[in-house]
Amino acid sequence: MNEDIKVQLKKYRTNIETGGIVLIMSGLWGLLKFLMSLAVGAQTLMSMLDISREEYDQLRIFILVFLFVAFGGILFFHFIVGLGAIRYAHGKSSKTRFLIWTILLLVINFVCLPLYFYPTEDSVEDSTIVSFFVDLTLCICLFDLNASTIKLKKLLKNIERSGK
Amino acid sequence: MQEDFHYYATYCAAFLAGFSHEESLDICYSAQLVDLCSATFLARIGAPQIAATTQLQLEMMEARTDLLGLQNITRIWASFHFLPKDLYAQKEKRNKRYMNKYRLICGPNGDLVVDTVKNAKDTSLQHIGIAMHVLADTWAHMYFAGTPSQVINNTDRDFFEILTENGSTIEKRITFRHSPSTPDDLEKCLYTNTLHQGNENSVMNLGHGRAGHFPDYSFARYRYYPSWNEYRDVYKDNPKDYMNAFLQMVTAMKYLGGKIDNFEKEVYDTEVHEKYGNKIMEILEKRQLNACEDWEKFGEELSGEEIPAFDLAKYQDEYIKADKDVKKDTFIGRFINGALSQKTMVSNKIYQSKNMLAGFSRFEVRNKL
Repeated sequence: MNEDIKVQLKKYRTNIETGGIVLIMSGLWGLLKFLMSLAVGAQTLMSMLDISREEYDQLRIFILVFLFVAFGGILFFHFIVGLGAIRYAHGKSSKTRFLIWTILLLVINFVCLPLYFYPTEDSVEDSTIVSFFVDLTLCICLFDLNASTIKLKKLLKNIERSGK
Repeated sequence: MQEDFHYYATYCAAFLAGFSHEESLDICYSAQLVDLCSATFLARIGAPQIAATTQLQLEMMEARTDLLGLQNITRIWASFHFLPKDLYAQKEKRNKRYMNKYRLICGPNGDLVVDTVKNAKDTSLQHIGIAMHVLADTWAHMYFAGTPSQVINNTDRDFFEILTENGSTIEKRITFRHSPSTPDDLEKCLYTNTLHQGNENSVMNLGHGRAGHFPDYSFARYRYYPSWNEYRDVYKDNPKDYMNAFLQMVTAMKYLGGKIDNFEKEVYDTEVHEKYGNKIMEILEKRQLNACEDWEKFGEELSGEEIPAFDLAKYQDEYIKADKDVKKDTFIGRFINGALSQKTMVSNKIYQSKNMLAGFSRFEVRNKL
């Protein structure tokens, strides 16, 4: 195999693997951000949900179960998609189903980036700035992951064709 | 490299270069001492800590990684274990900060190796031993730099050992894990390395830490992707490289012993190769964590004398009990002089190349008899 092709293959696989890892970590980051805002921020669950103390006491178990399932689902989603990318990068899988989700995530994150420039009354400047840069980094990594996956697919097809 | 090569193989090379048994012992002891002469050791015997030729793991854990700390680390490791191959190497589209580290990548047959050997001419056996350690390490530690740098020294999961099984060549992926107390497992290709650290200047990214002790095994043939090589792999054949190291040491010591007039790059002793090449290759290729026994046996066959095991405490009392004005004439005193000379020479060359990673260096310490 041509040296340049080997280099390209290695480069794209490395980019996809890195993107997969970043995706998994971004899921953890989302959970961490939520927990930190409750633990050290000015907000409580009640203020976030805009309910009274009595309503909260009545619905507490339901709210906690919902949050557990929701965040569990988000984490699981990020983990599965990220793992799919990593497995593809390592050559353990030829499926690129994760690409649909990574493109979707990229679009959603990118579209939501400008919202950081319209802070609400409750938002805290320091954490907003940090979150903006984390989400921007995620967008860049997802873009890189998607572009590298598409290029890698094309390259592998060309190699297969030239091999025949 | 490890004790089997620095101590026993250096003894063999010294003897084959024409040094006597006692002289060869002094040379090989000094070569091995380079791996153990830390600031802690020197402090214990009341010697100047600036002559340290290595840093212990505990010292590394406490080492500062600010500008001065990094310069101190680089001065030691680049001078004694990762001698830079080309201080004026060029690479496109890279800034000065990157190039300073890139130019510290170790490799054999660079100008500094010639300087190292010639710097040891007409000095002491201890200085010769230091030079041999440095020369040997340029072969084992090729492709790594003696400064903490993730962008130069990092490796990734694509690290393969090349083995011969049933007559055919296969590649086996090496698994690295951070478990310093567990010995490396040759059968399962399981080796210890340093923890991954995202920080560019972390001491975990010093030298070949990310590849663990693996580059120091003489039997290892491997392929991996160094960070600096832009997704290109490199193939390392340790048996062949270690053979070259041995033969080059013989040539260097023949020059230092006055048997030949000059020492040049890429000159390997053919006489020794013809006579002992097969025997040496047998030792180098044998898959074992430690080849001390084999090298010791070979050395004793050559000289007919017993080679004592390395004993770090051997010359300590001599140094401690000596008066201040005669300390320099003790074994360790001469070793310290040689170490200072080597360190200042290399640091000065790095400084002259407009690279501040080894710090500011105004002059060299000349260690001439």
